[in-house]
Amino acid sequence: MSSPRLVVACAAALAAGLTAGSGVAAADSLERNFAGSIQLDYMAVPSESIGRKIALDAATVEVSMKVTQDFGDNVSASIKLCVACHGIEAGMAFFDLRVADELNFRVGRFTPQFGSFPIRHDPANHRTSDKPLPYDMGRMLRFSEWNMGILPSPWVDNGIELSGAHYFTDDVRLDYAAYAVGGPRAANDAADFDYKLSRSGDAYYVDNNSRPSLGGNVALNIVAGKTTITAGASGTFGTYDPQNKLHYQIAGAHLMLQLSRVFLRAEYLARRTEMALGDDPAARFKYGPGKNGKFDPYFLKQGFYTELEMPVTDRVDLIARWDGLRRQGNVLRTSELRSDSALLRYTLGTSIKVRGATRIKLSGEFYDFSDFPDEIAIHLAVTGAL
Amino acid sequence: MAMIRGLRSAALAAAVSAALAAAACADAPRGLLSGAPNPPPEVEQACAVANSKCARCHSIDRVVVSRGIGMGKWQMYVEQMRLKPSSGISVRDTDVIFRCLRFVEEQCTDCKAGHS
Repeated sequence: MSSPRLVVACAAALAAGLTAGSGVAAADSLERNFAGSIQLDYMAVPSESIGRKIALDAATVEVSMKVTQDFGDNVSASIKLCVACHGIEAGMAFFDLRVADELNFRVGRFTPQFGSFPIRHDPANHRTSDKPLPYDMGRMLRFSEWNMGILPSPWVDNGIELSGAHYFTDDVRLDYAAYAVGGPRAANDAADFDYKLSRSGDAYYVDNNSRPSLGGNVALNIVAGKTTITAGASGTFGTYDPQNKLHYQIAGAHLMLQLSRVFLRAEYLARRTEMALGDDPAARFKYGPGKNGKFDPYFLKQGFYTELEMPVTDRVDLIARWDGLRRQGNVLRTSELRSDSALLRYTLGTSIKVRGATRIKLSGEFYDFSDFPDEIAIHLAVTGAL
Repeated sequence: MAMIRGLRSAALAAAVSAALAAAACADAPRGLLSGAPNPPPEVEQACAVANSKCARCHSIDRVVVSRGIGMGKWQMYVEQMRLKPSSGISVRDTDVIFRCLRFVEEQCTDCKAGHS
């Protein structure tokens, strides 16, 4: 965000205008709350003499500060500033208009609903220092070779989202969301998303190709005693280049089983992305044409994670996670990946309460690369929340 | 070779996880009622629900450190959380969670002096 103060000022002005203009929000129905979190994480890569060659290792900090203002029962405004490796960003700047449980309109800058993890993306809300590989935003080893995960979380975009929840019974609930947002960006001759362009104010915070990306999410929650099962599916599609020629589709499925405070989570994501072949594909790509003599312009990137989280005492949580990525399809000549590359990662970690909402996170990760030597990463983090 | 090592790690992780899961289930942490002496049974039940629902998306610590904000704000928070996607919180649950939070709020005498 080039001018976070401007965003705050605009939100405040809009909020003030809405309150004054509507006249429906009595003073005693106005509620405002502040929430914030911080994580300072140190990542060591003992299998490399200089970890920086393959990762954003050593210390990183993530800070978020969020203010939500309710205007009566149906309207609220939220704004959230995030500070991380990429600098200061507006993670949220939106208004919600709730008509009923089944219908909510969200307009502004927000994270469109996709899958399960993005709801818990804040480092104070998940127990590992980093994110599952499908949602990685630059903390994985070899992140530049892999161009991060499939849908880096939090994915923040401008647009509108309709969402809601319907209770069939007290114990059975269906959540849905449908949205239109600007979508990911890249240059005309792209072979994948350019995440820097997608969050950069240099190209203005507007859609780069005059066509919105569309998407949706649906999830069914069933509660049976101390057990809750959530199953859902998500999808989004559109184009990502300025010429509106390069298409992508992302699909996902998630499942969560909760037994009291023990959680088993699993998600699968797949992204099919069209690459610009260019004038001379033989010179541009590492592999030649297929049996039909034509270059396949698409690659498929799949990812998954499964995670078991359990409290052992009031102070100690334990986490075991298994996640992975696979990329199939042609690659640029400069890429170190092959036409079929894979990565599996195994993580064991713990989150220990120190005092209040201050926690220490410790985790060890084993990376099993198909194209590079295997690696080990160790994270030690301190997190706090308000 | 690396794949075999990986599978071995996965098997080890699964075994450790299963053992820990059993341990976790046998000795459930008290969460919101940590440090609260002799809560009434109905509050115990209400807080068991609150612990379970809140922990879906964030740690219980985030609730505990917010004590002292007053019941009006708790009401707003609980409603906001209910409306979160896949919160698993029903309309009935909001009353139960609120009952727990009222007890937790009342027990925190320091919080009322503004030291939550």
